[in-house]
Amino acid sequence: MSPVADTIFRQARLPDGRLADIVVAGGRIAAIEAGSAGAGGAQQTIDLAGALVVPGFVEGHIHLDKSWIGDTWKPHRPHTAGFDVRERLAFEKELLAGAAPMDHRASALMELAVSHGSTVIRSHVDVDAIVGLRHLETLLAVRERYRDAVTMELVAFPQRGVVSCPGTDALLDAAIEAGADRIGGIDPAGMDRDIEGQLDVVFGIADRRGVAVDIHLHDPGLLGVFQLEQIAARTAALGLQGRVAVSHAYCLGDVPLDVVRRTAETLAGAGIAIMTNAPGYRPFPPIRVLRDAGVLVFSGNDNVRDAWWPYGEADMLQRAMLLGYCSGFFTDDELSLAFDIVTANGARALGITDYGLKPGAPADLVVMDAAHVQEAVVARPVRRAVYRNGRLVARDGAFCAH
Amino acid sequence: MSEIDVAFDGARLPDGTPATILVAGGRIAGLEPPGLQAAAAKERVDLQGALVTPGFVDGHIHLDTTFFGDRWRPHRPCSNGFNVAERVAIQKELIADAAPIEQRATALLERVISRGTTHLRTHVEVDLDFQLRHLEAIVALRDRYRDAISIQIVAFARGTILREGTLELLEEALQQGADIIGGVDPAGYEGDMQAHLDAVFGLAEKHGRGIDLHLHDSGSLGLFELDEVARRTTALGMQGQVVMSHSYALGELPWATVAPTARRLAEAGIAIMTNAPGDHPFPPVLALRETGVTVFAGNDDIRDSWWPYGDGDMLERAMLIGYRSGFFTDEELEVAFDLITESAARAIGVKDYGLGLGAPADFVALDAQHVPEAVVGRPARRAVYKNGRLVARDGNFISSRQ
Repeated sequence: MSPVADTIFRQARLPDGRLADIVVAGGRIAAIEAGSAGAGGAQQTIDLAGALVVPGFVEGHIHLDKSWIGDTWKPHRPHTAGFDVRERLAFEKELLAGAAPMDHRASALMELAVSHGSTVIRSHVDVDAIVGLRHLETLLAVRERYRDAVTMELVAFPQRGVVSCPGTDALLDAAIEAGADRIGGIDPAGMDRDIEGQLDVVFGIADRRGVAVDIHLHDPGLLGVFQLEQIAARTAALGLQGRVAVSHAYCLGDVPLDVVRRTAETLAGAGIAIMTNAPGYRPFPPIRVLRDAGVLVFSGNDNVRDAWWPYGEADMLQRAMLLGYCSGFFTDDELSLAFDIVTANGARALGITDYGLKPGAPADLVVMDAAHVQEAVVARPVRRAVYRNGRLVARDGAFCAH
Repeated sequence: MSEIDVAFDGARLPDGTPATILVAGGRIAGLEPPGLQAAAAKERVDLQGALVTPGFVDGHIHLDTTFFGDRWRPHRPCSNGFNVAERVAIQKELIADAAPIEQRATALLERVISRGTTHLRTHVEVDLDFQLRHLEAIVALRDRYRDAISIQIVAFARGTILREGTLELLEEALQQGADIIGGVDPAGYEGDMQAHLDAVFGLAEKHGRGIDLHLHDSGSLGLFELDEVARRTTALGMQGQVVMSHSYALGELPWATVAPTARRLAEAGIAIMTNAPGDHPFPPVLALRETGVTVFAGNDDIRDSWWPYGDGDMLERAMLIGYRSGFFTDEELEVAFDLITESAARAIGVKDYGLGLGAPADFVALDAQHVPEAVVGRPARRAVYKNGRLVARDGNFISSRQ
């Protein structure tokens, strides 16, 4: 007797081009059958008529606590004398103080992300001596409320620095205790002026608490490269290969290719993943070079319409297009790479093993009208159906889970 | 009997003021504040608070080369870095077994109309192989869709201008519906800068037409060509009639080196078209504007043999220009929007453009609060009007026969 399935998605076009039926049982993919599965007494059958089905997108880097999505428009305040992170933080603090409640804004952004097809989210959340655990507590509640719609992990992010913001080290540890999944960091040199000091704290928590690491690194050129090397050394020393990511690593877009290759080898050897969102207006890591050296590259939308910049729609498919557009990816292989970066690579970077269109994985699917992933990346169909554990959570840009 | 054909209530103008837009005979007959005794109209349309902007202008597109409406063709990369001649050869091969030009150009035209483009300038190739057949197809398309979109045609040679018979072909093109004379890289592609420019300016002067040249040539060579074009433009009194498309060189060198050329361009009234490519330097928009140069935008190639990108949406093009230029403030986002509206209309010589009295009622009603939000949000919900008649809604082209 065949088991009763929850849903059979008929005539799905898989990324490899085959037409198949996807059998979902208990929220997981039970089988993918090229041709046609039996009726099997499924609760429901959905005829996809050849629509492209891909795994849910992985939003590998976002700041759910900072966005104005769900709030009124707030014009960007330009710096008074060139980029100054402390000035930007002051602007942000002022704007956040007058913003709609964080719970409301984070929820709106979360729903926007899901509506575009993200089923996994890694959000950084400010934890430092100025904001304490307030942002974290809010996002923990949001995560709980949306757990049926999306998998969310939270990175305790010392936005104002660690060493230069006394009390932050204890708060980061408390954040992990309170439920944050990962430990973050930020520009040990540029922010703290103490590379070893910050990395001692971050890797100390990683080691003691057994949590993975994701450090923001904007510091330019060889200064940034040096910090990548320090991070790699500590990663190897603590046996944290596969558990450490560096976000942005702009420095890899600043330095000559031979330095990039050398650094990439070091990163690959230490199993460090690099997150890039292809910022557009400044150099960023050369993705192909990193990939060729064996470095795992993943992506996220980063800031979405907040005090840092007005851009972002929380759409990882758009992010894939921007990755490709800004990297000069034109061939099918390159567009496929852009797509992998927002799907399989993101899952790997986040340590998620049961991901993808395979038996046993959760039925987290995005269905859209595109011939293949390459067309999906350049066309970014507006009309998508998003399933989480086999249940519809969004359609055509509108969140619809309860 | 009312003289007003349609009254569009509930419009929000770009400056924020609510208004009723009165249309008579396809032109704007009035902009009334709401709440006044409503002028009688044969028909009333409630825009429900939508942001109303002038129709978008695509200042540079290639209707004849797209694979829109045809099957996907994987990109073939150049063998050793970007090379115009190689790209032209690859295009020739791929177009040879493409769907008929009518099918492809129509599909793309309906796409761009559906996204809000009410005016476009398309470049169209002439070649000894296919003579004026592509031009004839585009001229026929222009006529068939004249109620939905205004089209200018630039005729340019796919091969070099000096190839025997080409000049005659271009001259014939100007008699058969092409408006403007085009060309490509007088130095880098033609290999004879003065002869190419002699030919182009000769035809322009003889027939009283404008010029729009593709300039990819790099660095100091590109600047040299821009200077020469400026000299000829001024000598022939063709200020306002000449466009240099791409002009990457303006973004490839330090501003101090570029500034003198920029000043010459401003004095010669030459406009610069950019589509803000992702992986290549492009003209610095603000610096050029401050120097008095008109900069405007176009989508350029859309899903053809040159690259797979592009979905026809000029609002997305505005976003990409802003994203690549580092435009964050409201004023800067409005500059990006200006490049797809007012500046583009001025650059290509559209008469009576905008939301003024007497102007053709060519406008887009968008689900956005204001222009900055429209640029970063790219709302899918839009209604597009040409001469006061609905031609597209929410991304769907509406045939006049419906």
